[in-house]
Amino acid sequence: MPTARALTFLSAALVLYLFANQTQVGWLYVMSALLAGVVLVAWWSGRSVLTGLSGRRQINQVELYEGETVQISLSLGKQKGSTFQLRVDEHCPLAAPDSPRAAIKLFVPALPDGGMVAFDYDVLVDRRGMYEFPPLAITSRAPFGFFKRQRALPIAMRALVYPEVRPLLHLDLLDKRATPEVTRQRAGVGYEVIGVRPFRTGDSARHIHWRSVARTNELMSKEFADETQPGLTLVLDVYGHPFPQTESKHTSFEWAVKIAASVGEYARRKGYPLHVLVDDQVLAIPVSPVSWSALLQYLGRIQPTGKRRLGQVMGNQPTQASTAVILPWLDPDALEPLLALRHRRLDVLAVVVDAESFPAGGISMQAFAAQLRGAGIPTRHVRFGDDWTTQLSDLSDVGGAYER
Amino acid sequence: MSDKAVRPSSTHALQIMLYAMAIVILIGGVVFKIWMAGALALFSLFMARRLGANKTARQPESSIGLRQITFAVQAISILAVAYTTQLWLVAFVSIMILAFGHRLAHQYRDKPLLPIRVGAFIGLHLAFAWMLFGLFNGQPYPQAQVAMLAMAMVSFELFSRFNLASGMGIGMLNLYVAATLSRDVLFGAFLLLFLTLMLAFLWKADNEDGIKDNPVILRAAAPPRRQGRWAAWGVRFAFLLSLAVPLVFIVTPHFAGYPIIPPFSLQLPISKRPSAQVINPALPLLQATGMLSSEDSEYYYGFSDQLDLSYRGNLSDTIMMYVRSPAWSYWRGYAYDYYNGRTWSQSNDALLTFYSGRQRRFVFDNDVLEETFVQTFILRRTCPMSCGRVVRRLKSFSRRKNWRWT
Repeated sequence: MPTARALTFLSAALVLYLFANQTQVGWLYVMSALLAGVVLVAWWSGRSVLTGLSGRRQINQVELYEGETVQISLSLGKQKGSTFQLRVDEHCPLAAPDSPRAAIKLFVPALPDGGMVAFDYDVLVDRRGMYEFPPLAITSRAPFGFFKRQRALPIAMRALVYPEVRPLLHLDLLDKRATPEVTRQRAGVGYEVIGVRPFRTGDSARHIHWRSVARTNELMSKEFADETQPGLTLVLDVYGHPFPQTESKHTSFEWAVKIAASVGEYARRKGYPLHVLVDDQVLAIPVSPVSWSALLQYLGRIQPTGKRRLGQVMGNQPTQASTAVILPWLDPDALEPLLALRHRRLDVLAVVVDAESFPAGGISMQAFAAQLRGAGIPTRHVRFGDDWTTQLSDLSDVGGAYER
Repeated sequence: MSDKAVRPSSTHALQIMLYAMAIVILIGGVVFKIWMAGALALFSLFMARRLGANKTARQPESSIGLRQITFAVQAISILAVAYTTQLWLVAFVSIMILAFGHRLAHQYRDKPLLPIRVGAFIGLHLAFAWMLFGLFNGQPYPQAQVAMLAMAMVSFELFSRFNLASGMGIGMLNLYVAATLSRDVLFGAFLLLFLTLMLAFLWKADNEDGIKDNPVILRAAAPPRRQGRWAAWGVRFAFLLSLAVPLVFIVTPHFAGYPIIPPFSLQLPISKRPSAQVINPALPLLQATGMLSSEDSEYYYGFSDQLDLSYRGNLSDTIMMYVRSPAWSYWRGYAYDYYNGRTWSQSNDALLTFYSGRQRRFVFDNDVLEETFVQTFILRRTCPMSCGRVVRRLKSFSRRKNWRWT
């Protein structure tokens, strides 16, 4: 696309041409032809400025967690011919929208034939979710700024960000039950395959899941669960409640997901097989015990778009001996299934996240929490501002009692 | 902060003035049926739009490199004018002022000093006063002198990137003046040098903008053998340019002999040669010509005893004489036999006298044996200059005002 500079040159060439015609001065014709010729050659020479470019983007980390810093490597090369004055816009969806890393502007003064430039940058992962890096936007006005050319270099890449996981110090739901001590040589090793996860140092080579290796081009290990152990059922309400629209990542639902991940991590640490009970119409999940990585991938993707209330989801679904129910929004109908669990003499922990305390606001859960406690259901009332691990680990003010 | 908020009021006023100018030119063009005015109106509109859009170009320019290139571009244009006019002293003075002006403009680019601005204003007007003085007092090439001096004086006001680009535009005007006076292929060298430096300015400006606008600069570590490819790219560009420019030159029609738009003549009370012929060829649409001091003036274009090719006069439609002839004949206004590189002249201006005798009939050669014919001349105006000298002597043999010779 011609720039204002090209139009200025061509206008000057036209004026000189007319003046040359008036004066019949030959040199003016030459000057006019020079100005127009420069624009013409600049157009011709600039055609190859953005061709033959190749790029690569890589995240130097296998698992991405919200709140962690990851390093991203970006490289740009030119296979054929030289190029100049490239303006590159790198958009990183992992960064917070107001972060300077969200849109990084790069400038490449010159890139010779066969040359390459590389750029590594650290970014603080803002929030969980599945992200797709957009193509690299490259523009150039070389040579001499007469024409502006732009191109989107297709080096798109997807990245799944797991929710933030904070290790809990205590969780009375799981602490007060004496789990059967089954001695295993390594943690996480049981009898039933519950999934695969990235290979870690110390994993047995016999447990490598070769089909996954062939698919992902990375070493993957099988993960096992022992069905003889009592398990934990993690229930997350993903119904499409009227959450306030906000750009902030601090919403009651996001906190509910983080709490679910932290509780799952604690259960894993304690050796509890983990089952997840959510609206599978939103995102399907196996009824069998899930691996740690499967839980993280699930929680990384889940969004509050469900059509079924928590009561419908729980229904008569089988649960493990312990059940943690996480409620991001007020749902009075959730009381009934929780009472049903209590009547079945199962351990239940209700975690209610008070939407009212969040910046975007919402309905207060205080009365509902009191109602749950009054019904004898141990309840944690989590409010925005304080560390949820502290709020979950607090041994006081739980209300109710666990079946022992 | 919005774009309008940061734009200085002077720029806004200039923008409004350009819009108004475009409207006036357009109306004038329609009224006087001058299509060229449409192009000028478009150019004014374009410049007004440019003023509004390019706000970063109005920030004080801190790049010494860009200023040095601008100075070089302007100095080249001055040297081109000096070479064609041999006004080396004026050129030297202009380059000294130019260098000083750039130095002060760079030094005080963020906060221009009022005394310097007032001094530049006065200096610019003195340059034009010098031109007017030169026009009426036979100074050589007064328009070339003012082109050089005015550009030098304006250099005190070149603070921003936009100003520097404008300075190069004024340099192009100087080159224009040189082009109209040049009869030498060496002017092509000045032209190429000027263009090369101007492209270097554009390249460097884009590079500096890229570095300024983007927080991350990525530089390729090129091995030594690759460095030569930059030069190869430049050579390829020059080669393509050497093909494109002649191509453009060839495909554009030149309409030799007549202009697309006839110029407007403006007569000024100037009678001295050579300024009396054309004052400023750099304004082709408005040609100032000398004015006859009286009815008996001997001056007309094309009949001088010398012809300075530095100047181009426009021919008049005034009828000089009627000729009645039974046969086609070739008439020659004047003939020169000596050229000094700029001016044609006669090496011998001795007159040959013919007498008409009683019959008022001139016979130039009595020994002509071929078939003869008779031409009748009626002079409507007195022929000027050397032609006039012949006619005046012819008139001395005639008692009639409009004499006839058969």
